[in-house]
Formats: sequence, C-alpha cells, structure tokens
Amino acid sequence: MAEQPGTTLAPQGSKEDFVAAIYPAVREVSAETGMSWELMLSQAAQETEWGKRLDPDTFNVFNRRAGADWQGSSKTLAIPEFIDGERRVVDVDIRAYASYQEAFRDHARALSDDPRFANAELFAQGGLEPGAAALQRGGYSADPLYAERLAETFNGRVMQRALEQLQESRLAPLSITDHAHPQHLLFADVSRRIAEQSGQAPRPEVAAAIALQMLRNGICDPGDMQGLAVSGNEVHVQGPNPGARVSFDMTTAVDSIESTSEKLLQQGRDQVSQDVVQQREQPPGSVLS
Amino acid sequence: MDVNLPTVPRSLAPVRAAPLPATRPVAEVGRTRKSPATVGQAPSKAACDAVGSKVAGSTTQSGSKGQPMKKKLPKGFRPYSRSDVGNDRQGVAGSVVDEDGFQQRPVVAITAGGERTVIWARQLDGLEDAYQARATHCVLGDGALYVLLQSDTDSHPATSQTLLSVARLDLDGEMRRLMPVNVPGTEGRAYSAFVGTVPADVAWRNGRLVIRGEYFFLSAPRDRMVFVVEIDGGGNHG
Repeated sequence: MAEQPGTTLAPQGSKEDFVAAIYPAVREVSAETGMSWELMLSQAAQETEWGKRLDPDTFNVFNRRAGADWQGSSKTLAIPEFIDGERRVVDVDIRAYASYQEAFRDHARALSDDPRFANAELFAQGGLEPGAAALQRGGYSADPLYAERLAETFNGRVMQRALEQLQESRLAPLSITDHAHPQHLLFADVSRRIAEQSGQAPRPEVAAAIALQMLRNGICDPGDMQGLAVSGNEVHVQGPNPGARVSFDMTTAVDSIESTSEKLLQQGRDQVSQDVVQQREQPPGSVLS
Repeated sequence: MDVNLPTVPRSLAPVRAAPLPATRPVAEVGRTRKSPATVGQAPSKAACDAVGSKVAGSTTQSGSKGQPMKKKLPKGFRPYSRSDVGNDRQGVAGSVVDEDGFQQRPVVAITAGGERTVIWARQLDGLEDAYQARATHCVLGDGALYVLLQSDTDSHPATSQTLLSVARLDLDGEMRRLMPVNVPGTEGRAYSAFVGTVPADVAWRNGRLVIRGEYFFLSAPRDRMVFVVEIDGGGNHG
C-alpha cells in the first residue's frame, strides 16, 4: 500500500540535526559536481521542512519520481493530485536511495541533464546566489522569487545556528575514546589486552597514558605490539624491536583523558613530520635501517 | 453573482480557502466566520464561505470590535508586484512566510505615498489543501481589486502543482469572491501553472481580467506551454 508523504516522518530530531545529517553528503556532492553546497542545503531544508516532509526509507530529499528511465529502487507513495478541480490521491513511485549521498548526487545529475539548468552558473561552485538564480530562471519552482527565498533560508537563524554547531563540533577536542581519533585503535587494543589479562579494564586515562608512552617509544599501532603482559599493577609492552618497549605502573598519577588525547594527536603529527624530514634527508639510493 | 453581505468583523476574519479550480461552481461570498487566524497561519480547509478583512496592524478602529490596530505591512512581508490603483494609491501583492522562510501566505495591501502609509493590508488564503500560496499581482478593474493567487500543493516542486485563483476585493479591502482560474486545454489532466511577475501578465482589459502565463502537465514537466485566460468579475471564463 502506498504511503502518504509527510505522514511518515523522518526520525525525530531537531532542525539542526537534519542539517548535520545531510551536511557531509552535501559537501561531498558539491565537491564532485561544483553545485553550491549552500544552495543544496537550502533546497533540502525548504522542500523537507528540515526533514519533516521526507520519507525516511528513501532518503529522497527532493521527491524525485521514478520514471520509466529509472533503474534503481523505488517506493510508492500516495500523493494528492488535482484534476479538473478535484483532489485525487494517486500512487506515485519515487526513487529510493541508499543514502543522502545518492540523493544529492542524483539531484545534481538530474539538473545537469536538464537543458533548462545545465549551465555553468549552477555548477561553477559560485555560491548560492548564482546557482539559485539559475534554478529560478529555469523554472525549478513556480515561485518568481525562489532565489530570494533560498537565500533567506540559508541566511536564516536556524540554518546559521546549525552550521555554527557543526563548526563547534569540528573544533571540539577529539577524545582518544572517539573512533575518529587517529590513535583510537592503539588505545582500544591496549585496553582490551589489559582487560583480558587482568580481568578488569583499565581506567581510560590510564590506557591513554600507556598508548602515549607506546607512541613515543615507536609502538605506533596494534600491529607493532609483539606482546603485552600485566603483572600486578605493572604493564609491559614489547614493540617491534628490542628498544621499543614500555613499562607502566597503572597506579601512577596520570593526566586527564582530554589532555592525553591532545598529546597523542600532537605526537602523531610529530611522528609524521619526522618521517617526512627523514625521507627528504635520505640520500638517493640509501635504505633506512 | 454577488450577494448581500452581512456585517463583518473586519479586523478579525481571514479569507478562507477556496475550493480547487475548474468545474466546481464559483465560490460565492455569503457567510462570515470569525477566526483567530493570523498572518502566517496555515490555510483552513473550509470552503470560501467566510469573508472579512484582515487589517494587519491597523491603527484605526477596526470592525465591530473597534480594537486599535497598527496600519503596517505584516512582518516578513515580501512584495511581488505593485500597481497604481488611483488616487495616488498603490496595490501591493506579496506574501509572508514563517520564521524559516517556509509556507508562504498571500497578502495584499493598499498603500499611499509610496509605501509610507498603509491604508489597509490583509492576508488571504490560497486554494483549499494548498501547502502555500502567494499573491503575485494586484489589478484595479471595474471598481474592484483583483488579486492573483498562486497556490502550491506540495513543498517539493517535483510532486507539487501550482494552481491559480483570483480574489476580488472592494477597494476598502472587503473580500467579495475567490475565483478559481481554469487553464484552457488542461481538462482531465494534472497540470501546474505559473505567472511571472511582469505586470503586463495580469491586466484588466475590456471588462475582463486577462492572465498570461505558462503551464505544463505533470507527465511532461519539461514541456512548457503558454496560456492566456480571460475571466470576468464574476469568475466566468471566456
């Protein structure tokens, strides 16, 4: 049975949550196609009312129809149509995407395939205004002031607050407990091995401190660990060569998880820099020991 | 056919939604309804059976309640077109949106001295079941004000139809009729029509309102066609 659009709502979340959910896809497709990410964000916000009018199963932000030329999945929705003044509910097949990336990519592709929109302004990475003007000229919307309204949505309070929150989250300190932290795997592996041997997981700040020592001593990832042993409160880690080893007393006072996470980040950057310098200084034909 | 109107609490009652265009009888004004609707409120599904004038922010006595109101355009008002309606006054057609810039509601106003003085302003509703609507043209004809309304049925252009209607108001802002506009040649098919903001696209000529725009069938959205339709003050097409 066909579903009524707008009655099946996207997962409950704030307007800012919706922007955060689509933002990576929008930036990705913008980088691929040259279509303004600001424009895509505004269009998506307007058409779905911040995700409220979006079928959550299809990621179909723009309600693109699945016509005869559509080879992908589809879903049937019951959509009202007005014929001779009468409202009828008709079954309409819309495209079902696997992700927001697919939805925005298909949106950009459909616009570029349409002679009304396939102009340089829409795909010239020129920002919102020229792209919105191109959509308005091509008749994407019946609203003669469509471009102005897109700009208003982008510059509006909700969108700007959502973008500020995204910026803040990107600038927030990255904890070693976060999967995105470059040394998270090292930290997680140390924690797991200690827990296996002692029957108790170490405090996160202790595991982070051990990971920091390991990194400083040349044990850079789990694959470098030749062995890990727990003896009382002592942890001993053997690295890939005899000089690369760490002994750590888990009762020692350690820094906070935030502080150690930042030191791990810095240590990782320093390691990369050293590697680069080492490679530049390496005489042609020589082999690093 | 117009009918005698009862006394209307002018400041309170919004214009209600009209039925969809085409074969239905033209809506007649004959009853009134009080409503707490305000600018920006979603349209009612009620038929076009309630009238009154909504004076957004009048500073004069308004209607039977005599409440002092401001005379100004509603917050967020965006004009689509202006036209001379005589006596150094202008008719202004436009819309208001909610705080996110969504869900347009049509607004028409009469101003004097540019837009320094607002004689009256009122919100109209688009067609029944419309997602949003805007007033895009305001034309003086035969002693009345004709306002073109363009109503979108959905927030997604891909699954939306834009349907046209004309509101006829007295020059003091009192609503008289809401008339669906039937685009010729679209019988039996789902279509979408729109009129640009060129003033000449909507004009009063020889006792008729002449509307020129474009339309397409939903089955072929890339094929745009031009239409011209004429309606008289009673909503009769010809």
